[in-house]
Amino acid sequence: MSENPMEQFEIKRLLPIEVNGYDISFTNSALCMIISALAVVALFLLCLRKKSIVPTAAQCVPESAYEFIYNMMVENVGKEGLKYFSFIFTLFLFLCTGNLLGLFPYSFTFTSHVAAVGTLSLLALVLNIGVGIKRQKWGYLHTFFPKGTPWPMAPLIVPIEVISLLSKPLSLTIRLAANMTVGHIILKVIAGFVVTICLVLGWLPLAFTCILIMFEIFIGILQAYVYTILSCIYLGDAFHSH
Amino acid sequence: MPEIPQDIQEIDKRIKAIKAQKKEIKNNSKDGYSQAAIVFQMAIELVSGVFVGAAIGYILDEMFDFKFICLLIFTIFGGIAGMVNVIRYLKKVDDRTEGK
Repeated sequence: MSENPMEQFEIKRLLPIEVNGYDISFTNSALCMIISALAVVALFLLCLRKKSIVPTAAQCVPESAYEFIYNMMVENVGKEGLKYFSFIFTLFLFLCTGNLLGLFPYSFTFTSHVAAVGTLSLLALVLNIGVGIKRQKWGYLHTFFPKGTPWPMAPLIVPIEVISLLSKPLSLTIRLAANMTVGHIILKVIAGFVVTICLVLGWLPLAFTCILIMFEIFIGILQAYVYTILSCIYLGDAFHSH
Repeated sequence: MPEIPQDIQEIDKRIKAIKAQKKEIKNNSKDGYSQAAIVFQMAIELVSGVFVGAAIGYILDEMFDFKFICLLIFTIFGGIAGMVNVIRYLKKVDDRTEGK
């Protein structure tokens, strides 16, 4: 493994592809995304092989995840938002697996890249706007100019509300990408010390790294949860705004 | 009306006690919001507002050749939008912790 803690975030071309001057190469990031998606599908197929009314321990895993996201959506969006359940559920599982996958040696954390997470955030924004327009038609424009606001205030309020809406995906993205990047850098730096410090402190640095990995697993799941809950809240805004 | 057996009543009591205990734990945990997470989210909301405002200003300057006027105005708008987002976020946290 490399000694530079930033090297783990480098995008490497695995299959160079160029179309009309655009570089659309298959990279290590794309590979990890595919592995992440396949891992979720494989886990669900494996756990739901033998379905029974009284769930087995394996069946409990997907059922708990389903119930967890279902309750989150009912709480934050309401029952009417459940038609978008599949999007939120996929988002959570994809990000959670991506965060955890990055902890494996020689793996790649695609969730630490703004481009990857930003695309998902933009998707959430497009869904938010789409749902808002579908439900409220022209009334959706009141998101940018709330009812009852005096007209002379429009040049001030409208740009502020537009920026406020557009900054939502950015805040979502920065939060997740920053957490993943920092966590992995710290992990790599501490792990780099294990060999040199173990001559003095014995097994202690290794134990510390193990604790850090467990902490990072927790952070990975928590950040996927936070990302999902914030996406739910933004979706809820489209249902209940103004 | 048939009388409910003693053991069923006992189970009902236990279920109610566990539900009350769970509710108390949920209220104490402030619904998953820790102080550090709130402060981190506030900082991100502020920065992203300014960033998006500045980006819009820069693009408008480039398009209409306004020489930094749009960048200046939209960065200020972005700062205000960031603050608005922070206030909205804190209001949401407040509503959830108070269980409204």
